[in-house]
Amino acid sequence: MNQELTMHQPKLRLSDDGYVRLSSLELDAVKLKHLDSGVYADEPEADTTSNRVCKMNGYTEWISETEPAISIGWDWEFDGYDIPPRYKMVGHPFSNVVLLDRYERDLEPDTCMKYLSVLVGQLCWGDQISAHITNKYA
Amino acid sequence: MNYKSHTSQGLSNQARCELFTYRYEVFVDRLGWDLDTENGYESDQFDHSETIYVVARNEDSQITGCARLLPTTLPYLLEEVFPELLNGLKPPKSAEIWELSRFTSLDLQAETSPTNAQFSAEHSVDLLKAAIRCAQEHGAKRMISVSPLGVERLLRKAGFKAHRAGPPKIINGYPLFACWIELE
Repeated sequence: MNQELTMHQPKLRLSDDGYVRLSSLELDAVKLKHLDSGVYADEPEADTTSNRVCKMNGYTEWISETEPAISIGWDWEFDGYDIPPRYKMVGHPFSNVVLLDRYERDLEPDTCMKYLSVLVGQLCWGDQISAHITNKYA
Repeated sequence: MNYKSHTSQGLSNQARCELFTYRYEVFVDRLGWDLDTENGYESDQFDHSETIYVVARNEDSQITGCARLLPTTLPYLLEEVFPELLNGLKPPKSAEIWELSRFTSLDLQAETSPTNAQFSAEHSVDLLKAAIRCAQEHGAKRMISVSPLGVERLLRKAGFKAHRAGPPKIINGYPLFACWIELE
């Protein structure tokens, strides 16, 4: 039992430069939790007839409960005119992660960003952000 | 817009008064930061004789931005107040690493400034470049900063080589993070 647990614990290495270095497989095993989200503009664009928010932009941050902790944040936009309305990531994520190749060498930043973007796409984050900002700005 | 750097001793009493009043208006009045202030002034233990300031003024000589620089060889904000933002790493101590703090480019006279913004996009990059230039003149090769998330966006957009020194944390209701800025 203990052995199985140990096998599934990702080996997170905190480097002096502040980056957490790990393989993509190890990153896949890290559970990320929502930390915070917010809206950038003072007044999101609203439909004047229905008073429903149609367009807004913001940020979101997700962190792990591991030691050292991993964080991934990204900007998003919400377009209420989309069918169905949805949140979309804007640009590349921000993170303290550097992914390693099989020889434990740093992958290129662009490769890391692409991988993190895919990971974000798998998080199903729109509902969490929606609930959080509804509560935050209510 | 002009950007000038001042040693603490080089700041006249009037300029010091204007700077700390401006910081109060930005960080306390506008952004709602929970800072220990007195009589409409915002200054703390890191404003001392070794502190370097970069101040932006418009054509009417009104302050429209500022930055505070400290060598990490002296006690500094991240080390003393927010060490938890370093994810378990020891705060750096080096004459080649300077801390950037109290960075804002908010023009309080501008009607379009959103109430939750710390930066006016137009000149925040120029102010940041002025702060970096000033730090380099004092021997900095890297900078570290306790920053709101907006700084990370600003740095990327402006093409600076910067990255997180640790994950953000919610402190007094605001997400803050420690950020490395590479100067070479």
